[in-house]
Amino acid sequence: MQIYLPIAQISIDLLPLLGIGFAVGILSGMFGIGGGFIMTPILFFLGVPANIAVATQSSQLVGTAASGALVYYRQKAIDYRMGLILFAGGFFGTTLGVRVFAWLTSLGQIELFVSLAYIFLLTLIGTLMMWESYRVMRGQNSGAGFHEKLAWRHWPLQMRFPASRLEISTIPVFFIGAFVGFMAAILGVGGGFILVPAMIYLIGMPTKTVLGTSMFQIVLVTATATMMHATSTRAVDIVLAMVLIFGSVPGASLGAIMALRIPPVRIRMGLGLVIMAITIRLILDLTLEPSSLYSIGL
Amino acid sequence: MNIFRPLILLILLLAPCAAFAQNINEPTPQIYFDRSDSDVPLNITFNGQDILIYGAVENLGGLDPDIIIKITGPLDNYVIHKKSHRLGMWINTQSLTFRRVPSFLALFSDAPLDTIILPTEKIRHDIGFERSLPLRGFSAEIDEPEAFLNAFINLQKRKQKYVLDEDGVKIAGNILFSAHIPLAADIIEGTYTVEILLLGRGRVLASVTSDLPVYKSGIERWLFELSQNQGWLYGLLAIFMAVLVAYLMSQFMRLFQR
Repeated sequence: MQIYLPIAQISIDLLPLLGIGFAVGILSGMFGIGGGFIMTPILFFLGVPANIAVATQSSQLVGTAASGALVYYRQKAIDYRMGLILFAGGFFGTTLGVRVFAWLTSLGQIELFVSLAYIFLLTLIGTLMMWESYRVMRGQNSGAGFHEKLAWRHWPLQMRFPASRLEISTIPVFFIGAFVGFMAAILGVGGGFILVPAMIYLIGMPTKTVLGTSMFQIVLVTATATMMHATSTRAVDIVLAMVLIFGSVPGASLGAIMALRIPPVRIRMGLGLVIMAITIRLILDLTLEPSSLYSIGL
Repeated sequence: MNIFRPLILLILLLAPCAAFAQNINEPTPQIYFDRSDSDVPLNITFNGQDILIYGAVENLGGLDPDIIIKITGPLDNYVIHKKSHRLGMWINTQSLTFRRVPSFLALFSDAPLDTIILPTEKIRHDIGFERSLPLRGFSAEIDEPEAFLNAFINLQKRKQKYVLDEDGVKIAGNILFSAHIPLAADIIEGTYTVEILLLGRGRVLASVTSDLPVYKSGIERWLFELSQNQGWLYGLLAIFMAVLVAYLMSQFMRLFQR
């Protein structure tokens, strides 16, 4: 069954879209991430134009992250103060990111840039995850506590974060937020996959507040990215976003149930493998000679 | 068999006219045609569409008729990128912009074009992909603009945006003709032009044109216009819908789990 996407102006098979929404939903429920970093490259492979995939992902993630954040809100596991400072940085980064996105699109280099950024980030995160789960499997410590060695904790503008029982400089928090916001705008991701490790390893937040705060700040960042894409690139496709949400929400519930039954190390190992596979595919697309040297620009 | 019903009707109506016309003056060749759809609405279930074009010709004075059907979509600008191997990667390095070229172009005929139309007539009536795509408006550093043009035509053919079928028009009894023209699933909206040429011995004896409107309908039209004209409102709607649908779906899943 086909569905016509009014903004993308293409007709696309409904079932693969729902299936991918569902599969990514499972991953997102299992790992507590939005899953945008997996969804966006898969949408490229399905033939959704890069600008539509990226802009639409932002709006889809608002919904998915909001329903996730609601769960943490009920458990009182959100550090709002931390979330708002991360978002202040995120707003700055998103504004910059949408500008850079529009500029690279006009140069015809957006696909190259997005692919390279993905390859860089996914390689980094995939390697870290595989390495960490390997260490945990061998009974070594997981790298938590690393943040205590970082000097930026003692920079000026110190602030107390009672919900996370932390006192830290707001400057690194702002810049982590800005980096994540930049990536959210350019890659169509919520940034949870960058933010969660950064909160644990770089800021030193306790596990209790990490996922809730990350979800909370992702709602704010992706909502900002949606508004900016809607008013500048005009590439947000509501129909595509709805289809993806329909698939991903049930997937996320199933993933959350599965997460309780599978040991976390296995889960992280699995996610590491998924990330590696996507990275390899992106690298091959970039380095193997394409079937046609010519392409029609966006 | 609803295809043939209008045809039979047409013949019955035309036969006396043709006879009458021949009696008074030197008759001019004529084309009469109709199509299966008067317009093409792009809605949520749109998945490409076949347009049936059918009709009849008369007053050929014993010539064997040939028919060319050309459908031209709205004009658009296209940027063509060419990749080169740099630093181990395939990167877009050259680009060329084609301005105001057809977004859709279908050429259907009853026999290979070169055998039924004279070169001069081909030029006069813009028959052939190259004819409709004048090379102009490109920057000077491009070495081979023709290569870009050919690549563009091939890419458009692969996407079913440019279609050439030299066996696509069926002619019956030297009078009736019909053709199925497929419109791709991702055609853009606008006014398409249907042009039918009646040929004999390589010359165009008669031609008719008609407009085929292709437009978004219903909620698709509304969403598209909102996104283009009121980005703020559209963005807020996108956020609201996303949150609402995700919330309802998750509540639904909770019911389902119990």
